[in-house]
Amino acid sequence: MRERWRRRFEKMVREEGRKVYHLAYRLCGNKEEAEDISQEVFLRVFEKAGFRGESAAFTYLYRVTFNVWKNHIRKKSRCPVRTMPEKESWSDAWETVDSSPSPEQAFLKEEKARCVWRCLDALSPSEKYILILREVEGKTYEEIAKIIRCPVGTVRSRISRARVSLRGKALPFIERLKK
Amino acid sequence: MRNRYHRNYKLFSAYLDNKVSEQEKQLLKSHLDRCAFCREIIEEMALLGTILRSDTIPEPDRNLFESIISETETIARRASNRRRVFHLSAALGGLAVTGIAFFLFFRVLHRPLFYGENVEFAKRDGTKEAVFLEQKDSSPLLSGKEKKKSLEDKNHKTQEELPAFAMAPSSSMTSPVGGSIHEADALIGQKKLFSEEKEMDTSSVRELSCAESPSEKRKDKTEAIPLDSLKRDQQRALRGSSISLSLSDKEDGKNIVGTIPYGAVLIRSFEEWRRVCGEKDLPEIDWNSHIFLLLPLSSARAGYKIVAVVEKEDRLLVQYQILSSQTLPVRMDCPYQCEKIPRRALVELEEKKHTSDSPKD
Repeated sequence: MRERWRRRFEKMVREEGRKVYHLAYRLCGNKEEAEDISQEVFLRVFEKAGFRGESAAFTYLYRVTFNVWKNHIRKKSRCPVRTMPEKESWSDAWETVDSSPSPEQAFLKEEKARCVWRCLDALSPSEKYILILREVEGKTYEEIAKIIRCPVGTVRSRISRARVSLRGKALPFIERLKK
Repeated sequence: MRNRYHRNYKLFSAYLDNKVSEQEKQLLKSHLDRCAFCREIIEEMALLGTILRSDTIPEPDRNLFESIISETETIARRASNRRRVFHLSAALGGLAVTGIAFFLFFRVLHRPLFYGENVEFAKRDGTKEAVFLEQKDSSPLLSGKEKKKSLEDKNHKTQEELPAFAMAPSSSMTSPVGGSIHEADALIGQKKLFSEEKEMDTSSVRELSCAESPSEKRKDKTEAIPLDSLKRDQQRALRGSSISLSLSDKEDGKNIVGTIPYGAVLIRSFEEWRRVCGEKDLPEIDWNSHIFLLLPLSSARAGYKIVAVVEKEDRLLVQYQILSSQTLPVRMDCPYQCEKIPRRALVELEEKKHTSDSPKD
């Protein structure tokens, strides 16, 4: 029984590990932290042996990833490593980037992405999570509903709210982002 | 009337995800053609989504997933060890609990109610009467040699501690059955202490228990008890200590346990009765055939009747008759309970006492 679970678990790690890592990276925006979170996710799954195969493995893993990440940011909030800049400083930062001598297009694209991700970081964890699932991971409403265990209608309204919140955060830079 | 498509963010979001019906999509498109504000919102939402998707992710370490798998192996091994320790400790705990339960059952719950001197009685098969008792050493952990040594020590100690009145009878009178009658005190008791005496056949003791019946054969057996083999210290030991009784009634299945403690008194004559219990309630008995055993009330509720007390080499045999559920009568004006005992059964005892007194004379 345990040996069978172990084989199944190893297969799960090899098949779904990259997805978990990607999601963790999207959530925390840091490679080392993403690796830590991925490891913790799989260790927790292994210890609890809670996956019964009733749903797709990724729905279960995504849910565990979200919980581990929430614990992670809770620990970090007790001893914060970095703080998000204020809106004004974001503008300054953007000005700095924009006024840098002859930025290449790729660099500009990267800076735009960084700016939007910072705006995303400013959202609540659940808003950020659901928006990443929809916009970045490309999950359908039904899949998201399974992952976060709520009805599809709720998913729809939450995604809408998250998008509005993100736009509100990014509003000061929106003209720059359009360029 | 307000346009239901204007600033309808939920609909905008569904539109971006292509989750609206074809009809609604056409209506929303016509609204967006007219409303620059809503069009801008949708464009900005779409732009943010596009930028988010365009972000690249660095590859994880190559060994990340392998290290996760190896880590789980360590965890599995640790969990297995934990389970093994848990099962082992559970088994040990169960054994300990079982051992304690057995100990309590046999050592605490089954001990006599009145734990006097370590005298244990067995039960004679088949009849209600019968008995015997065998004194044991107090420590069940001692080996045979240690017990013997301990017994001898006790013997010497008992001789030293015996009260003076137990050594010398203060008065005597002629008994109708021939033996001399002594002071009523200091009769019952024992403390066996003997290591080298001839062992009396248990069957003769059992016969003695039937001394009330007019059987010539049994009478012969009673007389055959080797009184002369008793040493003087053994005879002394009869006085002033206590006897524990552990009786078993086979018929009703109950254990009757009791003690004849120090202070039990044998009364063998009318004169002794008057001296001990006063003029009141003089018993109407034939002193030629019976005597009384006075037991302290605290220990006299066992429901047994003493028939005979016989000393053996290293044990004191008390013959009794179980009175089943019947409780013995209690004298309110006397702190003792009276027990009438056939005198015949005490011939042996009195003769022993007589023997013990004779060297002093």
